[in-house]
Amino acid sequence: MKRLTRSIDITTRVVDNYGDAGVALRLLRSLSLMGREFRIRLFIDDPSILEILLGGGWRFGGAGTVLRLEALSVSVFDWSDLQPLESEDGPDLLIEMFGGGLPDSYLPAISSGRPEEAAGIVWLNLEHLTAEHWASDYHLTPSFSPDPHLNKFFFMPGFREGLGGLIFDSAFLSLKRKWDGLDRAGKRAERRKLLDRWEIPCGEAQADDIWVSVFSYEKDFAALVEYACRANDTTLLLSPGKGTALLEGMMRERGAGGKCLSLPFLPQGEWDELLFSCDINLVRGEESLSRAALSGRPFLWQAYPFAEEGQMEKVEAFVDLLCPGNREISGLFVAYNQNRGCEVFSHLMKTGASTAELFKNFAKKLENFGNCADQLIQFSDNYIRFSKGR
Amino acid sequence: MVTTTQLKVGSVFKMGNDLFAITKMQGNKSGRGAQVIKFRVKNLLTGTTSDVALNGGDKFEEVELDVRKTNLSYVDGETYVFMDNETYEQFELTQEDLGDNAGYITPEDELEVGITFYEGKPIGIKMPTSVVRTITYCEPGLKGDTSGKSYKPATLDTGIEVMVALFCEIGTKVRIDTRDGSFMERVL
Repeated sequence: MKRLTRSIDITTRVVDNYGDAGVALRLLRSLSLMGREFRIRLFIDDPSILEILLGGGWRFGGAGTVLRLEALSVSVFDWSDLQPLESEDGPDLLIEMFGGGLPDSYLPAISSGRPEEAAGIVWLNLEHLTAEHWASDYHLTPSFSPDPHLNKFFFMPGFREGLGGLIFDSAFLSLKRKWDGLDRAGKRAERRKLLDRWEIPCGEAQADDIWVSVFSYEKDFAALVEYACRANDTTLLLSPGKGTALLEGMMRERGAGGKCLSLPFLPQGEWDELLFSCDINLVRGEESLSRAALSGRPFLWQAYPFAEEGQMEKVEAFVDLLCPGNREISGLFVAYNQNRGCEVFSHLMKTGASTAELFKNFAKKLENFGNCADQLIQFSDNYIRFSKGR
Repeated sequence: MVTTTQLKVGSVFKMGNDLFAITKMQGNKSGRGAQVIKFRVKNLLTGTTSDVALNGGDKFEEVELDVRKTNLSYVDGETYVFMDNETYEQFELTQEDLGDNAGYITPEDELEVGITFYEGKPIGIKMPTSVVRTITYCEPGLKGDTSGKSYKPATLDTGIEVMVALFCEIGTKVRIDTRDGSFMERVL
């Protein structure tokens, strides 16, 4: 009987912020809930980021430190310290996150003890998330590998049918169902529980407010401040970061500091719950975009800014999928990224049930496209099934 | 060694024991603006053509092949016939051999192109990084829009369609980047 994927190596670099390592952790969680046994090794150039993302419940203690996620044991390696890697021990599947490359000693280590006749390793470059059309041109396209034992392909996650989908798991979906099923009183009670857990004092009325979570790069917040100061039933929940520190300072200057709740750094599961608890989420980057989109709550997304406003193409491609033909909503996303006036927020708050339905349906569609982790494993399983020598 | 972003249509590079000639390329901006590129490559040893996706930072050994300066004499169906400017020798290449570069040349040009040879056989052409071509058809220009950031389709005198700035008109000369077919500027 031909075997399926059993061993997986994942390589990731921490370029900036927590997004890259965050996606790796999401992937590991999803694999842990798949009901299969995997031997997984994670190679990361800054393991301390995992300590932060896991909320202090885990410490990196050198090469091979075990990270337990549900029934899954992950051996974590510092990118620069692969000494203990067993040379003959290549994986069935290698996942390179975001074209970040491999540690220098990785290929020699897994190739040196590998017999000539050994079956190939599937090497998937899990690329960045984009809604642009060209993602379909790249998905599962072969790439060059410097080692004949490794067969490399691009793997594109995405918001379109036929792409690799987004990473999610049963725990995320259960949490979503829980919050979706709450009535107003239930929601108020759950919000209060969250704030107690995060040790954030909050007035009784505030738990009933329109909650707007903010996770943002540094930007011009004048419009948001203007809106938040005018609205008397809105509370901003600020995730830590340079951007939100700036926002909080501006709110204080306007004497509206009380409308802000400063959140501690939340581990992923808690952060997901924050999104579900809010009426509107203002998110940034790719990892958070995927969570916000899957949450089914109205949101605005700030794209990672790069040269010549290149991010605007990504924003426009995204809104084309989210709300084709809906110029009002697509205009809000564009305006948010271009720091335009406070009517952006007023519109989003006012658009009501039809807008809520739009985001809910989009999330449902994304769920139906399937879990990215499942699709990575499925591709690897199929490759193993149909390749010679297994 | 060269990185993926330094390669262009007509480049030849080595991967393992194989030599590949690039016939088509599509560059895109991935996350954080990092470049990803999809090439159509012809394996010069086996003759097979395939598509490959690469990251902008991937490194390759570029192979310098013999180059002879020629002009395009005429096109017969899918065959492009070039003539050596000094020896008057003629060389034939197919449209597939030329790949995307076929869209930037016509026999009416005085444009000098280098034909690359591998083991004595012509395999492709080397183009300058940019060429100036004339628009033969596009929708009317949008007066006042000189930003050059919004685009519309236009047909060039070579017959290919590219995206050009909204202010361009029929008859406008435009500089096109031969690496990815993108509009660079209006040439006055």
